Order: sequence, then structure tokens, then C-alpha cells
Amino acid sequence: LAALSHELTPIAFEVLLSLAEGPQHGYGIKLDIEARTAGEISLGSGTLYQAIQRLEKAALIAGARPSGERHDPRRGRSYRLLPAGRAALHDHLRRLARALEYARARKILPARP
Amino acid sequence: MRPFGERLFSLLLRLYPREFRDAYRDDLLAFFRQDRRHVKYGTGPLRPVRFWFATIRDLGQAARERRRGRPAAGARHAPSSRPWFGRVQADLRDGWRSLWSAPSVTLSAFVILALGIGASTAIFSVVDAVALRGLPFDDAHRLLAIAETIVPDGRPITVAPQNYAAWRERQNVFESMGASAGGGRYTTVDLPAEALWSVRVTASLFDVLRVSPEIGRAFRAADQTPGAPGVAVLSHALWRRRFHASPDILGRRVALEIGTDPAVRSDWEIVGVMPEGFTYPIGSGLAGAVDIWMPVVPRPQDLVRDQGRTYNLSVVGRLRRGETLERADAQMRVIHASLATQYPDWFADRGILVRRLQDAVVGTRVRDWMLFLLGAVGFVLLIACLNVANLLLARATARAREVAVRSALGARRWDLSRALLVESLMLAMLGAIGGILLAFWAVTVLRATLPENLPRLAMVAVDFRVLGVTALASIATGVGFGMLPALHVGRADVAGTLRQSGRSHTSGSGKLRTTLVGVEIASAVVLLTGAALFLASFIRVMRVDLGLDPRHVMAVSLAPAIISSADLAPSAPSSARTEVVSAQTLTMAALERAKAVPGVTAISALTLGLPLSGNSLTASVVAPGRVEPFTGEDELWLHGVGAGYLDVVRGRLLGGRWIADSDTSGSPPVVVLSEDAVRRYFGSREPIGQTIQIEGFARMVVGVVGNMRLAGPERPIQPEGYIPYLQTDQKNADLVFRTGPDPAQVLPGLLAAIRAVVPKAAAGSAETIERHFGRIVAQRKFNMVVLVLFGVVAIVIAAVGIYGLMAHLVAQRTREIGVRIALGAAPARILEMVLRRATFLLSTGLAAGLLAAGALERFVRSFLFEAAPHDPRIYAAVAAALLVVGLAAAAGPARRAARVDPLVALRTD
Repeated sequence: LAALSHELTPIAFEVLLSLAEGPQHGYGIKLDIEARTAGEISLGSGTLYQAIQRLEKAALIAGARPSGERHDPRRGRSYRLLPAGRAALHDHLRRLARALEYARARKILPARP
Repeated sequence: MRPFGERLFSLLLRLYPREFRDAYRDDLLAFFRQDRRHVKYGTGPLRPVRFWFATIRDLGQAARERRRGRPAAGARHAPSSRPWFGRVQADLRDGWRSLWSAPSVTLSAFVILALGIGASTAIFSVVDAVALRGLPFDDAHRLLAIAETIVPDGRPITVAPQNYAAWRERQNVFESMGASAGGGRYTTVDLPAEALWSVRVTASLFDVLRVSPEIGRAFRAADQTPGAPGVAVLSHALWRRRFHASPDILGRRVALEIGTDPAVRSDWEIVGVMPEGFTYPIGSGLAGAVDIWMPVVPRPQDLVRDQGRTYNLSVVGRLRRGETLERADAQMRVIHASLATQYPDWFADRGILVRRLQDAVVGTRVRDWMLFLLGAVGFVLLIACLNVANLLLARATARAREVAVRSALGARRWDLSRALLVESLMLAMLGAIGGILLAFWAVTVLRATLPENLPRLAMVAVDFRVLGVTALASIATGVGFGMLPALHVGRADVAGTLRQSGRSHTSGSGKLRTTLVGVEIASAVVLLTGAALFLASFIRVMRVDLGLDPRHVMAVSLAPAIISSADLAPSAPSSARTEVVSAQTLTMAALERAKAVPGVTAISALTLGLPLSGNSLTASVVAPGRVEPFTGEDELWLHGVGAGYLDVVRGRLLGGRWIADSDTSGSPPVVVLSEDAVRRYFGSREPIGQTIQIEGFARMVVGVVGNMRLAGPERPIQPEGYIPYLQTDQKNADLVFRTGPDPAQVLPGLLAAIRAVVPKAAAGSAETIERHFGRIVAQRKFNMVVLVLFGVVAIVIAAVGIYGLMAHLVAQRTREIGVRIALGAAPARILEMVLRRATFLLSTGLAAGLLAAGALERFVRSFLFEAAPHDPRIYAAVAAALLVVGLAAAAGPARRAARVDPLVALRTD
């Protein structure tokens, strides 16, 4: 039930997923999401950074300090996943996997070709 | 300095809450910079458009997102239980949100509305200032102008002083009656020389207008008695300009002269200064405001009826309270009739006309013209409204599902319609703001383009009155284009819409949209036809052979001229003759100096009317073998010119010789006639060597020149005669010259040369003849420019409408098209199918538009120059232009339809 307190919006989920493999700056997150979803989700700056703000407030991710070692002013701050974020991502993925399994079993979704 | 795009973006960031903005500004900017290079925005000129659309849409969505935290308005209460103020607030908020949610629709609607409202505001500000606004006098509607008319055509002219006196005595419908006499031009004796516009007025005039001097006194009856000391009242502007608004101006004298001759000088005692802004007569032509008023002093022959008739007064009366225009008109007719039986030879060819002063100032021609402009811009506004209605309707149908859900959940029809109406009103207000900004700019352009002699041109401005009307018009516009979609939504079939899959639209909306676009096309056709008619008319005017070349010709006036037919021959008494000779010697000396100025290729003295100025003097002619003089239409239009004149205007010598330097007051009197004068006076006989009588003075015809249209391209060819300047009794002259380079470059040197001889030369004017020409064609040019502009706007908006509709139809039928292609239809067939639909729409709109244009043509016929009624070439050109543009607009959607991938099409939904 603890996981439910970090109910993720679709965009927040995509952002966490992008950071799972390692820290990224804002625009990198956007490109990663675009590539993964074949352009279906293409975030603008406002939408993306509002999601980032919410995730930061919930202490799921953290931005590097501007003076920090990985900072590149041309690309903006880079963000990394915090342990709570990784846990929330895992919870969410588990739920999705369960739902997927269920859907396949009941033939709601065609089985993988 | 950061690039413009980034500055704009950081400005837009202000839409976010401060906390968010502060925390992420640098990141957002970095994102922005990187995103500009993203491949998804494509290439070509539309790349920035796509980029900014995406950026702004994101901004709108994100800004909306922020507010989701708060409870949405009305979420807690049913709409009807909200107090009305809160409801309005909520409506506005919902409307704003909805406008933001589809920025591309909102942006197009905004641009179209701003164009429509801007054009209407600008045109209305002109029409209002020129024709609609009341005169700036107390109770101005009680001021009537009373004029005599010329019997055959009823044209109003000025009034004879004797008749004015009789009217004043016999009438009792007016509480007061006054008159003014035509303007004269004086030159100040004190340097710097300045030409002043003066008007003579009766002592009663300022009473009639209910205006009294700011300081000093108005004229008294005693000022009008012959022999009384000369007194004058100054305009506020002249008082400030020349006397530094000195309070002890009263009692000072101002010395004025007419002509180059210091002997013709007069002294005037200043007795008053009129209030700021006062001028009379209003709209007195090119000179604008009057500088100085003097009393009308009747000459001895003005008091009796047996010494010839002079018509020189413009009469204005103030109606008694309770009297009407009709009563005044009836009484003046009775007085006129009784005067006519008393003095039959004074009134055989004269009628009387009583009308409001305002109508006299504006004139029916100008008023009709103004109403016509208003009508034309009305079409532009109509098209803009139809288009925006169309856009909103498209969006409303796209949201049909949402609306259906809301009404299924219990929203009342009124709530749904109101939401749409509020949205359109907000859009109209946005459009009005954009339009007003546009109008401020357009008005400055219009003011510079309008004919200079348009009455009250200087008053044209976007002021509160205009803004008020714009605001009202915008509300009407908003309701107008919001009503259709709102009614349509009200009628929506809830169950049907919910049953349909998400992508479909109700067919009713498709029909309504098709009709709207059809009407739009028809209106565009009407405007395009107007544009073509005016363009063709203007081209015809410009193609008229003037017989002279106005380019690079300029005139410098040596002194204001007063023209009288007594000066046509050197026959004045000897003392006056000496004055003439000294003045003419001075003119010739100035001419000799000017000839040597570099850049001057030809130069001549000229009296009696600059080419294309419309001024001239006509004289009766007796030809050999005839006793009866040629008069009326056949009178000779006379010009006193020098040897260089033919080269200055580049006229054509057809036979005999032109005036030579040797034609002086001592040599035999000669005249050169135009082709048309020869035709009238000599028929097919040989004119050269013959002698004719001009105003009783014999002159030998020595040459024939080609016709010149000295009064402009639209006036009939007149019989013209040219006599040597030195063989007239004209004291004053203009120097008219042709220059190699631009006359403006030559002018300073030329003026210096002339002023060495005549210090006050060109105090009034130094003008190019081309400018006179421009003034003559200014109204046509203005109409042409405005109509062509409107036509272009109309066809662009209509093309946008066609594009939108075809895109909508294609999108709606994607599935069907997919099925057809899957079943083997060739893409060419699909293309043809869509284009056929567009062609049907275009030709229906075109047919309706052409019919309407044909019916409306008679209203503009009087503004056209030599237009054949229903010229088929015009209509064919309009039809062709519309079909080309319309099909081009439909081509995009048609190509998209032909490229539909059946697999994709069938998978959607």
C-alpha cells in the first residue's frame, strides 16, 4: 500500500523509466521518451519540467547542483533517480506486468506474436 | 543581447507561477535551445511555424495543468446555484481555457478578426470624420445653407449680394442669416513672407454660428459700410504663429499685399482673435484652415440691380426654434418666386436650394462615396465573421462528444450555448484589440492616401467615438459568428453522437459549414469584382492621353494671382499700364535668372491656371465670317504663356508657329489655338493667318497645337488658346519649368535665383504638376487601392475557408477513402473525387457571387471611369482568379486524400 502513495501519472512514469538507466538532463529525457514510444509521447518543456518538479517534490528524483560535476549549462541540469523513485518505478512496473499478464490470459490483448 | 526567439520565450514563461519559473528557468531555456534543432519540425519556411505552434501549445497545456490543483469552477456547485457574478467569472475562465486548448484555431480566428475589425475601424474613422460627424457648432443641425442654383442642372452656386439682402429682409424662418465670400490669398509685407488665406464675412456670420472671439470683438454692422477703416479678426493659429499669442494684439495693424507690386498694399487693424480650432468655411479645400477674416464691404454696384450680376456669397442661416428645413425651404421658394416676378432678368436662369449646412459641406457625392466605402468594408467584415463562425463550428463539432456527454449528464442547452457564445465574444474582443492596433496604423496610411481636398480630412482619427462604435461592432460580430455554432450545439443529437465512434461528425454541421464557405466565396467574388472594376477604371484613367507630360514639371508662384477678364488685353488706362509693365519686367528678369540654374531644361512664365490645377479663364470668341460670338460650351480657355511653355509641358505643334520671345506688348497680338478650338471655330477651314476676336480684342492665329487635357484625364477636351504673357495685362505670374533631374533637387537653387529678383516668390506654393495630377486621380487611386486590398484579403480568407472545409471533409471520409483504395480505386480517382467536390462548391459560390456583383454594380458605376456595364472580361477574370486560388487551396487536402494508406485508415478508431 505504501507504493500507492506514489501513484504515478503517465508522464511521471515515462520520466522515471528514462532515468532508470542512469542520470540524464531534461532534453535527453525527452528524446529518450520519444525514441521509446516512437514519437507517440513528445513532451514540451513546460509539461516535462512540471512533471520533474512534482517528482522532485516527492523526492523520487533529484537534480544535480548547477556547480556539480555533471553540469553542462547548454543542456541544463541533469537528474538522477533516488531510491524512493526506483522503488516507485518498480511498483508501477510490477502492477503493469500483472495487468498485462491478466489481459493476455483473458485474451483482452493478443498474445505476443 | 539574446536572440529574439529566446527573449519571446522567456517572456512567455511569465505565464507560469513564479515558484516554478524561478526554479526551472535555465533548464527551460536550455530545453528550448535544444528543441529548436529537433528534426520533427521538418524543413523549409514552415519549420519555425511548426516549432512555435508546438512550443505555445505546450505552454498552454502546461499552464492549464497548473490550475488543475485547484477545484475547477463549478465543480462543487451546480451552475444555476452560482451567483451571476461568479458565473460570469467561471464562464470567462472556461472560455479562456477553451481558447487556449486549441491555439491554432484561436490564432487563425484572431488574425482574421483583427484584419476584419481593423479594416472596418479604419474605414469607419474616415467615414465618420468626413460624412457622419456633426459640424462643430452649437445646435449645428439648425444651420442651413441657402444657395442659388443654375437652372438646367440645379448645380448650387454662390449668391448675389442683392439677393442675399432681399432674402434677409423678407424671411422670418431664420433667427439670423450671414454670409461669407470666397477666400483670397494675401502675402504678408513683413518677412518672412507668408501667404495668408482670408475670407470675407458679414458682421452677422459669427452670430449665426454662435461663436465669438476669444479676445477682442467680432465685426459690427459699421465695419461693413464703404469707407470704414479696415478691420480683421485672426485665427488662433495665426495669432500664435505670427504674433506669439501676444495678449496686446488688439489695435495692432497687419500690413498685407496682393501681388508683387508694393503699391497694392493694405493695412488692417486687428480687432479680435477667434477661439482655438475655429475655422469657417469648413472643409475649404486645399488650403485647410482660414488665417484671417475681414468684413464683407459691398461695392456700389452690389447695392443696385442695373450694373451687372456678381455671385460671390455663401449664405448660412440659423433656423428659429420650432422651424423645420421643409418650412424654410417653402418660404425661401416663395421669396424666390416673388423676386423672380420683380426682377425677371435676374432669375430666369436661377433656382434656389436650401439644405443643411452639413450636407453642403460634405456634398452628396462625397457622402455617397463614404457610404460605398463602408459597404465595401462591410463585406470584408462579413467574410471574416463567416470564416470565424466556420472555425468555431468545426471545433464545436470536434467537441460534439464532449458536449453530448455534458448534456447527457444534465447540462442545460443554454449552458452549452452560452459557453460557446462567451467564447466567441472573448474572441471578438481579442480581435477588436488587434484590430484597433491595426486601425491606428491603417488610419495614418489612409490619411496620407486620401485626396487632400476631402472635406474634414484633418479630423480623421481613431478617437473615442470610433472606438465606441468598434466595441459595439465587435460585440455584434461576436454574437453574429457565435450564434450559429451555439444554436447548432443546442440542437445536437445526444444519443446519436454518443453512439458514433469518436472521429465522426454530425452531417448537419458539414452542411452548415459548406453553406458558410459558399457564402464566403460569394462575398469574396463580390469584393473581387469590385476590385477588378476599380482597377480597370484606374488603368483607363492613367492611359488617357493628356497631350502633355506632367512629370518633372514644377511651378513657382511669384505672387498670388487675381484673375479678371479685364486683363486679357493690354488695354488698361496708362497709369495701371505702367504698373503692369513694371510687374512683367520683374517677372521676365526672374525668368532670365532662373533659366541659368543648372538642371532647368525649359522655363516659361504662365498666367491663368497651371496645367492640371483645374483653374482657367474662359473668353468668348468671334470667328471670321460670324457675328454671333461662341459662348458657353464653346468659350475659349485662355492661358498667358511664354516661348518656353510648349517645351515645358511637351506639347505638340501641329502647324504654324508657337509663341516667340518677340511676341511682346509692342508686336501684333497673336494667339495659338488647340486642335479642338480650330475644329469649333473654323471647321475645316485653314485657321493660320486668320484673325479672331477674343473678348472683343482682335488676335491673329499663328499656330495650332495638339489638344491637352489641362483639367485632367477625366474632363472633356476643351478649346484652348495660348496668348503671349507679355500681351496680357496680368501683373502676376507663375514660373513653370521642366527639370532634367528630380525637381526637388533643382528647387532650392531655383528659388534662390528667383528670390534675388522677387524676394517673396513662392511664399504660397512651389508645386510639381505631377502633384496636381496626383490630386486629380487621388480618389480613383484610393478606391482602387482599398478595393484591391479588400479583394486580396477576401480571397485569402476564402481560400483558408475552402482549405479548412476540404481538409475537414477528407478527414471525415478517411475511412471511406481507405476502403475505396483498398478495393482498387486509383489515387487519381480519389484526387478527382475531392477536387470535383471543391469545384462544385466553388462554382456554386462563384455563380451566386457573380449574380450579386452584377446586381450591385450599378451602385458603384458612378465611381468608375468610362466603364462598360457588365464588362464580361472583368467577370471572366474574377471567375478565373477565384477558381485558380480555390482549387489551389483544395489541392492540399485532395493530395492527402489520394495518399491515404488503407491499412492506416481502417485501423483508426
